[in-house]
Amino acid sequence: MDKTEILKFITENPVGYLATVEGKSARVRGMETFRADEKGLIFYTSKMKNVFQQIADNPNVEVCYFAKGTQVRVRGKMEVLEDLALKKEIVGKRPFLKTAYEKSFDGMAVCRLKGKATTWSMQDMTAPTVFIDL
Amino acid sequence: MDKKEILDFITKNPTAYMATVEGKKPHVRGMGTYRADENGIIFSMQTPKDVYKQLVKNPETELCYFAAGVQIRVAGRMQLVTDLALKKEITEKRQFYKPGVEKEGWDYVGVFILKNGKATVLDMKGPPPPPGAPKVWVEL
Repeated sequence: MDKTEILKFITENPVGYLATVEGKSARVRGMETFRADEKGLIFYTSKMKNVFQQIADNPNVEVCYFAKGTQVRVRGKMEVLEDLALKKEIVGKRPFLKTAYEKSFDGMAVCRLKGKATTWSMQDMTAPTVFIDL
Repeated sequence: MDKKEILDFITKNPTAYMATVEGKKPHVRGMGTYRADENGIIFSMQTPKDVYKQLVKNPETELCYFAAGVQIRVAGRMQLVTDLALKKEITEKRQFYKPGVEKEGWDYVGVFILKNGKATVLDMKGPPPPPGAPKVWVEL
């Protein structure tokens, strides 16, 4: 898979398993990718959540996507974006977020990952790991 | 969900997203759980893989399972298992280890057990917990 195919795969299968580090321990949870394009992968969460604190303390992350026998892993550093227009856009498209950010968007966290990706499939288990810059 | 329900869920939905730490960086990949019961949660992997080296160096791990709107996360410490009978049993079910075992012997198969892990359940079918609400942990 090349860069375009990987971004398309993530767009079509947007739930990733996002791993972070807390102290010396690993953490992982499912996380929706809001957008995946040339500019990076966009995620949103609440600043109240542990995942946000973990990213603030250590921005190194890895995300694992899986669909139809293909696994895509993306690693890199998360960048916290204070982009109000993007926050508004996300809440506009995710109505369940509306009540949380009625008064202010300050508590909303938006992060971008410009990382490198590696793909794996059961048919191609022994292929060497190759990284592609996204 | 109680302990038994969590172990049943893992047995029925054995794909774990396993997070490990290498230095200061996290890694995560899908892994098939070999067995989950009262004794612990068992995984196997080829020892030349990075995940094996990461777990030997830092056994702190977290697993994430997801099915039908329910997410279960299990945090704990992996212990290396050197039980040859278990390696043989696993290799019978995971035949793709065989060429490696023939070439390198039983050291090719790495087995870990996560004992005394703690699990937290998020049921996305219900209302979401308020952000920052403390997680409820179940001892496994």
